Amino acid sequence: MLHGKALPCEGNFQFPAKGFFTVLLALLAGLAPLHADNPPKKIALSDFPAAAVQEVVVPVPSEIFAVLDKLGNPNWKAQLREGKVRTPEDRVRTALLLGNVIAEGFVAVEAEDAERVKELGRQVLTLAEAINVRKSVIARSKSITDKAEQRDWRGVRVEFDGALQDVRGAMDELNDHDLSQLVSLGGWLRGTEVLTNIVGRMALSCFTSPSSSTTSIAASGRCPAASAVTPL
Amino acid sequence: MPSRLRRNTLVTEIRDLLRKIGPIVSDSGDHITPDKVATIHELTKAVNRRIVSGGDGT
Repeated sequence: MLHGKALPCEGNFQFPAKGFFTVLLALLAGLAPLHADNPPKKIALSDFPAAAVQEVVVPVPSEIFAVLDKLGNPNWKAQLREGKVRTPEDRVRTALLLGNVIAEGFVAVEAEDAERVKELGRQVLTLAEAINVRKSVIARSKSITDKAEQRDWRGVRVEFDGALQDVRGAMDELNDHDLSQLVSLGGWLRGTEVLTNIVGRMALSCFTSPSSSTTSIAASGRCPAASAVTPL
Repeated sequence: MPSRLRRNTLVTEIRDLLRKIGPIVSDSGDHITPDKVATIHELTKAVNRRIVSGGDGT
């Protein structure tokens, strides 16, 4: 069961009525059919608990990626963003980028890329410093490095998740509630970008001929290499 | 929303993004098609580029 973190949206961002949690679960809804012999041409939203979610909810990255574990082994390395981010001068972009980088950390964990994980852990610390919450993530940053070296991926994931919570908690203590929400939003944006890419590619591979150029995912065993399905 | 955020270009772009994604989900009823998933991907990808680069996202 997923537990999203509710955002107090009054006067701030107006999320779609169905909530973004629903969007994510809607995308994840495509997972089960991908295992079927005859993948459907559409993804059934009603099959997922998100239909019962009335509240506007944004899941934290750990929850997103916990569900993503069910995807098996898509090419996570291909989802990783290259390069090192520069610390922005404005706090709004810094907050969004911090959430973005934490979500990237989860992608790096899925890719089991220890060097990238450590680099992202350092970036979290740098960005946190830029918005005056460095102290709250020093220990997390160190733990991320230590656990990445040990290839303790579950532990790294816990630390990235903890970093997000700690940063938000510290910002709330500073009455930076709006920026705190932007951190979560930044994480959601990056998580959604990655999710939709993976799910989209997997769905595409299911809807095309096994002989097409998109059969690599099918070959991974996540999508049936059965008879060709008419593309949408 | 505080005016300092309302005036922020990136926040405005994100709000626009959310307005676009909302109907994609709402209009899908109980189903969402892969092309809509792809649309959401492109929308979020563009905004994330802006967040990372600070530029125009291209």
